[in-house]
Amino acid sequence: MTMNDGDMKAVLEWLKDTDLAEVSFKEGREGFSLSLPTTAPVPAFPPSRYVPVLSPAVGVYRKGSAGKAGAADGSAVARNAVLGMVEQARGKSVPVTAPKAGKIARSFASDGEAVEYGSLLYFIEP
Amino acid sequence: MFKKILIANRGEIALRVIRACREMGIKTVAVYSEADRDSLHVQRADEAVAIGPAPAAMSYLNVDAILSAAQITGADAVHPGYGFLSENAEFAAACGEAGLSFIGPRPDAIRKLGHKSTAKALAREAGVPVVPGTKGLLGADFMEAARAVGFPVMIKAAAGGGGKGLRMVRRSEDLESQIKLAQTEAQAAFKDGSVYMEKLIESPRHVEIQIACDIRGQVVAFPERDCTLQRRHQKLLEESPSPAMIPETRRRMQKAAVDLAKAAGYTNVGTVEFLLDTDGSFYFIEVNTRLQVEHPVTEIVSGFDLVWTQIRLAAGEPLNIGQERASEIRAHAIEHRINAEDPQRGFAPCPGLIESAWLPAGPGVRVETHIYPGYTVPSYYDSLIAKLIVSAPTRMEAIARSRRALDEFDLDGIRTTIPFHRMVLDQRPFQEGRFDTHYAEKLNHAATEAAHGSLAISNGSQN
Repeated sequence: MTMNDGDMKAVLEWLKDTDLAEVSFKEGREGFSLSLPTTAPVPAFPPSRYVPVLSPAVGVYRKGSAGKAGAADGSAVARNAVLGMVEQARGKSVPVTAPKAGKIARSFASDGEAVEYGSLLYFIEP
Repeated sequence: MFKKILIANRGEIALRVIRACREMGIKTVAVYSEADRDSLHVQRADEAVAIGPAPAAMSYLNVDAILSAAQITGADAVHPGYGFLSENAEFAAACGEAGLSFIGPRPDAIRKLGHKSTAKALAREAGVPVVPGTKGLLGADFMEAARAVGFPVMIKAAAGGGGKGLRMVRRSEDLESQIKLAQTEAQAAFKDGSVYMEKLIESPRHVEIQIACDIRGQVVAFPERDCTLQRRHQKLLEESPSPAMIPETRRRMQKAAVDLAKAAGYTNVGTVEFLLDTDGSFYFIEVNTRLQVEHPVTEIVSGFDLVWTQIRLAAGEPLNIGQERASEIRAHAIEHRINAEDPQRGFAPCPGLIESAWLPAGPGVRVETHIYPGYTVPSYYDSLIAKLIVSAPTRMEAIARSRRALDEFDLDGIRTTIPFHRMVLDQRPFQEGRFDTHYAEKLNHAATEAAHGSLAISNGSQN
């Protein structure tokens, strides 16, 4: 089987009519494959109503601060409230604060858990 | 031996250390910044820990973050690679205090050799030649001083740098007036008019000696690396052995490096850098207290793995070779630094997406790189993206092999220094080994001029 540019064009036109992004054809050792540039926008997810709280540092996560227990799931927190501390080597602690007021929808790191920079610690529902 | 090593670095050198660890049966921990999430070292290590945002000061230079990453992963040693914290005595000390072995020399040796002036004083004490000059500031006896040093001389500002208060004097009759000019310049620039004098090495080569030292005080020196092809103190191509070296000078240089290492109580691997003059005399410049970018050149020439050696020495093992074995030259090796830079625009950095990459291979070819097709070279760090190291029985054969390997090196998407390396290999002064540290700059200047010149002509003919 041989195909010329005209044949290819016909296949391409047909491909554009479908909702396919790619088509390939193979017969024995011969064949072709065509794909359309993905111009269609990726369907946008609805914006999340949760605000993530990410770890600002690498270390060991301690819930709460200065003897106070950490906020439990479902409890309300004020903006900038200290949710916990990341304990680092050489005694340094980096506070983790709530970026928005709301309630703790879910916490991801338990007390004493190792976290890295950017680890997800909480979702806050404003 | 260590169970798990954290590599406090990125890029090709992180991969190099991961490979050595894998060969030695040691687990590895990679650390990475936000900009290096897709970097190969993150994928190849047994574990990887995100330590901070893209700027190095907040990630690869963040001592607390790196020590914390070692702590949470249970690493027992830290390999610093080169650059970043590799020559930071405080970091080496902090590792020790955190119960981690620092794979490098002891903090006091880094301190002693890390500063040029203290290192130079130590070299003098150890009988290692330094560039002749006045030991202190220049006084009324300047003429005698200049005669002792020998013309031409450089007058340099004690407080300065950046070319201010810097004067070259070729004839004794110009000396007094040039000293006055230098003093005036220095006074204006640094509010301190004191100057000193040093012999001008007009046509130097940069030649360095790799050393390895165990904790019992045994030291060996490897054959030299010639890093004369450099631009603004950035090395572009390194080779071993040096085309300008004779066995007698090599032995003296190796001895000088060993003497200095012993005087400093040095341990682990390091490099002693020298300026080599055209008459065979050489002068100590500085010590690099770490693994160097160009270490593979020595590995090929000696047939000895320097990263294994570093790790074994840091674990307290004795050197397993003597000087005779270390001195063996088994091949000629050339390293080409492939940087994401545009040689035609003054080596301006060219970060960006590597659309496709085909790396050279075949006989006598070694490539150290962290790039892959689809990798984006971040703009935050140095522009080295690959090292091509070739080896062959002789220098001319190595050059032929370099040419072949550079032709195979196929990178699309970003500009690199590959065309510059190709051009260098075609130059007779390079082929004949007759060049100095000013050569690469002149060569690139001439090539850029030529390229712009021909462009101007073709524009003219179109009008």
